[in-house]
Amino acid sequence: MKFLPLWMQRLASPQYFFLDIKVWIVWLYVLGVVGLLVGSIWGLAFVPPERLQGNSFRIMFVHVPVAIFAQIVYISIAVAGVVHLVWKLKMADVYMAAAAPVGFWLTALALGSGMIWGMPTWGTPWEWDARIVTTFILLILYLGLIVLRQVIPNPARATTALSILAIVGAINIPIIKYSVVWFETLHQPASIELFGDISIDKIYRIPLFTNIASVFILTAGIILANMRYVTILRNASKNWVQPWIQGRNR
Amino acid sequence: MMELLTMDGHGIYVWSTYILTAIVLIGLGTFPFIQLRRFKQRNQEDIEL
Repeated sequence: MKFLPLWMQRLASPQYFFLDIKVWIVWLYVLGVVGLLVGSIWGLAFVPPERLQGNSFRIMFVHVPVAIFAQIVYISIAVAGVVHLVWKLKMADVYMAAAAPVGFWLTALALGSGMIWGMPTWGTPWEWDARIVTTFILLILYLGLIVLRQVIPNPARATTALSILAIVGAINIPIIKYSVVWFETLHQPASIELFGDISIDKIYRIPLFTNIASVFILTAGIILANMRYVTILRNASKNWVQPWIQGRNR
Repeated sequence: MMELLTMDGHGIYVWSTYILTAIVLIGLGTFPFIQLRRFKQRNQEDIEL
């Protein structure tokens, strides 16, 4: 890890991570919340209804960002799993413990908002559709990551099992992504391609991209805040924790 | 204003999605801070005992 700049190496230490990261979290929360308010108000009140779906399309401004980051958080957990297995970095395990519940709730929100959107658009909240089912599998994978930690008493074994589950489960992400291409689905094809066209009208892009950026920022802040809590739990007996409990440092 | 609330009959779907999102994100955002405060209080009580 010597190739990393000093401030990043410092963050690999639980003590310095806990003390240094708080100011970052505050800024990420402020930026994320302000961005989400701006993007959502813009999307709700300042863009015209969509030609075919009418006003129900406004659900897109929250559904798409949470669905994107439900998948990205899982990929990041799989990467942390690789880092844990290869380098045994403690913070990789802290990251996995902190990010799994966030990913779980983002996935639940993506499914929930999709079901609500399905009611006026498809006439049904649920369909055994490839995109919906693979996203539901993602939810089960997140649940597995959370439950596995509780049921395996040996922390080292639990982390290894979690890492393997995260890496193997990552195969579901390209399946989610291409489910709308490979299968005949009720779910519409992707409107945003990372290296391709964007089929969404320009007028809707500003609030959508504002919310995508904001959910990214807020998700980063929440995961870091969770990591801070997991860090203190795992280091409760360390000498540096006592001054913090007594309010003698930040 | 009424138009923004009703959205031609789609208001119930749109607003319930935004309210649900707000509840989940507020819950996710406050959870670590509440847990951290509880941890601190619990340990402060232990020190006082």
